[in-house]
Amino acid sequence: MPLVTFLGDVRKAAGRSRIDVQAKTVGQLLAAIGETIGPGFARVLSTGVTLQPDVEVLVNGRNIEFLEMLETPLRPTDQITVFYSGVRGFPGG
Amino acid sequence: MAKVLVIHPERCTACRACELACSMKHYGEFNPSRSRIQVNIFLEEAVYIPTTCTQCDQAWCAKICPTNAIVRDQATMAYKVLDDKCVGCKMCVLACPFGSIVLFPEKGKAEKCDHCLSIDGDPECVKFCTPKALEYLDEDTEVRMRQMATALKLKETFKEVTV
Amino acid sequence: MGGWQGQILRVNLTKGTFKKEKLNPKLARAYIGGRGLGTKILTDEINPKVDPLSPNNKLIMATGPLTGTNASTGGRYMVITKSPLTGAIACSNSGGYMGAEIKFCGYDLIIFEGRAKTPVYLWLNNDKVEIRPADKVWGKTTHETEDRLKAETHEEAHVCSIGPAGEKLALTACVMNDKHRAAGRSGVGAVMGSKNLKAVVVKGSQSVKVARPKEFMAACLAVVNKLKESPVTSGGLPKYGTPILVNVINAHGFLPTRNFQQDQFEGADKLSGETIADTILIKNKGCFACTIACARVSEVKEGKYKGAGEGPEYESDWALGIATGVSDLGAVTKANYLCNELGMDTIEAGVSVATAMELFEKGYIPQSDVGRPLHFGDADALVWLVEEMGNRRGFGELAAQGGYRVAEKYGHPELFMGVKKQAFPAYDGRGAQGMALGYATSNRGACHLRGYTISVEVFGIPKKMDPFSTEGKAEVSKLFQDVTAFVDSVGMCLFTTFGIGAEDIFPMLEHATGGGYTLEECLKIGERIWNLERLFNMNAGFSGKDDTLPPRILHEGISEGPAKGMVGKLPEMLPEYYKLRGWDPAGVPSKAKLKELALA
Repeated sequence: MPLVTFLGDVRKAAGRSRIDVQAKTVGQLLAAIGETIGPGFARVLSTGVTLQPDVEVLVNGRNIEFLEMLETPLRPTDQITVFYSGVRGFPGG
Repeated sequence: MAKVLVIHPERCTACRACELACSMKHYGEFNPSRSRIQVNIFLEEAVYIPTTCTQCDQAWCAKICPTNAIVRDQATMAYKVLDDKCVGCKMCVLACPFGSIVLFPEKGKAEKCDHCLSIDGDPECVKFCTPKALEYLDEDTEVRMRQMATALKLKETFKEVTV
Repeated sequence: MGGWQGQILRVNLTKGTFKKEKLNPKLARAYIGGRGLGTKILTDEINPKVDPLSPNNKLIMATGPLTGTNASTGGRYMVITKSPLTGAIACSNSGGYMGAEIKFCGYDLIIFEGRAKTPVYLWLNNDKVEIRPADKVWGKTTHETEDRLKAETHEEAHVCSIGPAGEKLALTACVMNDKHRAAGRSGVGAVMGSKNLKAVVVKGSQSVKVARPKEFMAACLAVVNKLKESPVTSGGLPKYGTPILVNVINAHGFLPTRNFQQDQFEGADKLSGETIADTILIKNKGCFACTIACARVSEVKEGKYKGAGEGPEYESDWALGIATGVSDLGAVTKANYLCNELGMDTIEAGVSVATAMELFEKGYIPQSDVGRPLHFGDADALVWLVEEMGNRRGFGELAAQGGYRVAEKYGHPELFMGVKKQAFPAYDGRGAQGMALGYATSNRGACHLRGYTISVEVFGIPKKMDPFSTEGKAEVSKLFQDVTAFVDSVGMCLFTTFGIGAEDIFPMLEHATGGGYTLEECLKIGERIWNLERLFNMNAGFSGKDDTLPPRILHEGISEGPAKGMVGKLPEMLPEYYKLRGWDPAGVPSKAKLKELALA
């Protein structure tokens, strides 16, 4: 099953650091996470149709923006990472 | 309604923006040594404590002033110095045990935190404090906050000890 | 003149004299302050070919017009000199309270010239200037130095100093201030040491004025409130600090591990911002006027690495931990504290250790030279070697010179991971192409701050760009480099740009100085500063050939993980970058460009 890791404050919102979920696409994955953890957390991540702003989802380290967004297909061994970006401007860190 | 300048030292990050905001508001320049609020930094212990005038109910400074230059605003209950009455005798400086009132030599007048009453009654330090270590609250709100904070701690304890 | 104090202090250490000079208002207007003004003055006054550790090099401590004001994070100062590590321009930035206190003594800049005969420190107390003997603190750590010098001067003075590393001219040496803050990179501490200048102690009660107080405060308050709205500057950074990046960059597959031999680290979570917040963090702290407060006040309470201080920050965490393969947070934190006390750049120190570890494991460094085994992941070895380096003894004598000199001595300079002899920071350019370009073109050697394209390649600011792609990276790198040079010159911290942009910063500069600045001009000034640094480097002997990357980065694909197979595609980006900069194909600024920037 695809393994999902939460980083930073997403961990706080989820109440855990990781979760294993069955899903064939990223969209389905977010829905399944919502069913396991709760609708409140699901809304933190996505509107159901799009990702919430400032939420980033990586599949095997690649941002879904460069894959197929919520339609990105998933394989059983895939690693998914969810974190907040929420930055504006020209930073350095 | 009496207002209280509430200080939460545990939230203070020692940025000292309050010192700058205060000196700018009252003197039009940035100068921490001319600020009426001071952040006392205990670096090794990681403890940072802003201190300023606590607006004593029976203020030593007001009582000792020979010209009655230190008066209490009946709305906010904060004390301010009336420049035209102050003669710069420094008796108030001697009387205050906390160092909350000082004489500024260039002006020859006593000066203290007056919750920015002499300007607009909107404390500048509070506006610039990002971690909310400084708040300007109604007295009963401030008291209620502390009661709730205590109650919350008790609530957690009860949850732990009761079956 | 608002913002600026209008006064420079020039200290001749050879003669033991000083002179107060008026700040040239035209120069200040054109270069602003901090990085811009300090670099302009330095490059006007020194021979670019000067030996950086000779008395003829100069060291400038430069504040900006917004240093010492309510501009959010308005407390920064720069240490500017010719670097003994790279031979190029050095410009290291630090927070804490030092910069503001220099302004409260009435100075915009302090220029140090020559070399004192015996160790000295400078004591500034409003108008008073004294060059005092530092023999009682020579040899002491930066922390002991600060405590002792405050006892001799004023208990609330602010101190910047070098530790034993700088005294011993280590190229990894930095200048520490307020105990835990560092002007880190490029060996600036060694220059201070070469001048027998142990410390600068400052206590002032003068004012910083601004041209239009009402408008200035309104602009400041707008910025304070905007930063409160950004989840990073008001949430992520104060809560987790910069180490929040560990897990993020690791997930992306370009967190360089074991001296860039791998790019994901199995121990990453153990060193992450999340773990630090749950274990060694005492609280967060801010620098002067900072509304973000990302510093980590920390303590390792038990065990052999017991200690207290501030850190580790992301870069320190990475260089001392992940680059060395050490996943023990206590050890990494202890190594970080040692760097602060002994006065070393954590990035340069950590990568030097990592370089030595790779050379050792490959059999290029005999164990007899080191004195003990030096394997990746060996926490004890890390802490031991950092302490040896800070004191420049044993194998640490060489290792304190940075990874390039270690690799070169043992016949494998190609195994040094850096540019212009300065170590890479915590992002592998093979996985983030914009960073590859940035590292190659940064004027001070490998540096992540000069053009932080991680902003677009990971976070999507102002838009998301694919880290693996080279498309558009030349343009965004140039833009970031110019804006950053501007921000580095006003006296504010770059981290504000997580929540605001140049368009929010320039109104504060304008209302402070009344200089008639526009946003366009501010960006142009950034470009001017960038080209000024470039010219200095070229006159010092650098050319387009030095805008390059190590063979591992250019030719060896990342070994595994999300970025497997990727190399740094510098040749695809560099020509376009030169063109956008108005430089010829060899990377030389054209006469037309220099004229446009009033540099010719």
